[in-house]
Amino acid sequence: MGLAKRIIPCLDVNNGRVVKGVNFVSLKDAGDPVEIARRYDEQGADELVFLDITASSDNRDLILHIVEDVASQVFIPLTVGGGVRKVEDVRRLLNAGADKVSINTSAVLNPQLVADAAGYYGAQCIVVAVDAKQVSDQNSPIQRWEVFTHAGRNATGFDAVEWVKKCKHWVLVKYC
Amino acid sequence: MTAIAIVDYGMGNLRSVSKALERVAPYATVQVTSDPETVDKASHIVVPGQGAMPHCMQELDKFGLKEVVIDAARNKPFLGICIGLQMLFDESEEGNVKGLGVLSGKVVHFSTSCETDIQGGKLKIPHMGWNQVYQTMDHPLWDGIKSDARFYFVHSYYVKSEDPDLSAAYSLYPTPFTCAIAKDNIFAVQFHPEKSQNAGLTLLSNFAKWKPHSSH
Repeated sequence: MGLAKRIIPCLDVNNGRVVKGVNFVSLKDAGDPVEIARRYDEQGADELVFLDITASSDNRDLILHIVEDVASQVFIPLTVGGGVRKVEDVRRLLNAGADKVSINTSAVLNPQLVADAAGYYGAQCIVVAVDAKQVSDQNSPIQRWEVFTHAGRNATGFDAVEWVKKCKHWVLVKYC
Repeated sequence: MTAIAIVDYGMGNLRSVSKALERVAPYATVQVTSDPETVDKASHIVVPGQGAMPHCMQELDKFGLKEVVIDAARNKPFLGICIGLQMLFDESEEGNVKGLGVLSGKVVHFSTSCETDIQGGKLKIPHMGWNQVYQTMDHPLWDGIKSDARFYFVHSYYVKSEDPDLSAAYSLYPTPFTCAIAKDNIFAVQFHPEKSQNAGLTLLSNFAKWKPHSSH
């Protein structure tokens, strides 16, 4: 049989609450992170992802307390992202109970972070998340996918596919 | 009195292991510890571990925990998880490092047995995700767990023992590999029971209740 297909609910967090928005704006409150995590766990989710979607744009620190609370009650793999800026942040999240750390804005601003974190903790726990939007250049009918940071707010000029290839190249370290 | 010591030698997060044990064994004391004396006094020992095996062995030595872990593996209900399984054996291909040598066998990389997946594509390493665990022996730690239950795996290496009687379960990736071993007071798994939801919690609950010596 081999590995199962996984169902992974992804919860966007803003100011300590789970929110539902459209394209990261018009956020509506969706409830308490721990409560929602527990409900998904009961329903048989294979993993959970928590992303503090405004950590970079609001220049906020990690959601350590939420991770600690969820990891104390839900025994499935957790991926956490939002405001990860240094290797030390990866360590703090892993110690709080995350199994994987997701890096988005900082991967663009400081690619070395991805390589360093994967080198130290192993590629199995480093995820690069990419927000891409379809854009077209002025006077050109051709549409392309461009990478955006800060929860879809800032254009980078990077082509999404090229960016993903680059990221893959950095994370070849494998452990265990 | 059940006193479970989770051996902390600085390699990775032990919160999930300790919280999961607290959940399933509220009658027990659960301690995350680097102190050899505490490990020595506990009734049950859990040795987790993640990261690179050479680094794990080095840290275990640095914390002065090597002897007491070997001693526990010979005498007490012992649960090894991931590297905690691998380190029981003689040696690992990962950095060609020596293990504790409690059990005879070697830890090898997936690429040494197979390089392609079922579809003929390149085999993805690490082996990561939920895979089925097929039990090969009756054991108190499998109580209440179906023999094809899925557990969560993250690893690139697995144990290859010379002793076929050691195997307690195998998984397919895509070829069969031993993912759990059992001998006397030792039970050790390649997967992560603390991340494997109900099946994992059942296994941890069984471990906390396990009295290997009285069952023989």
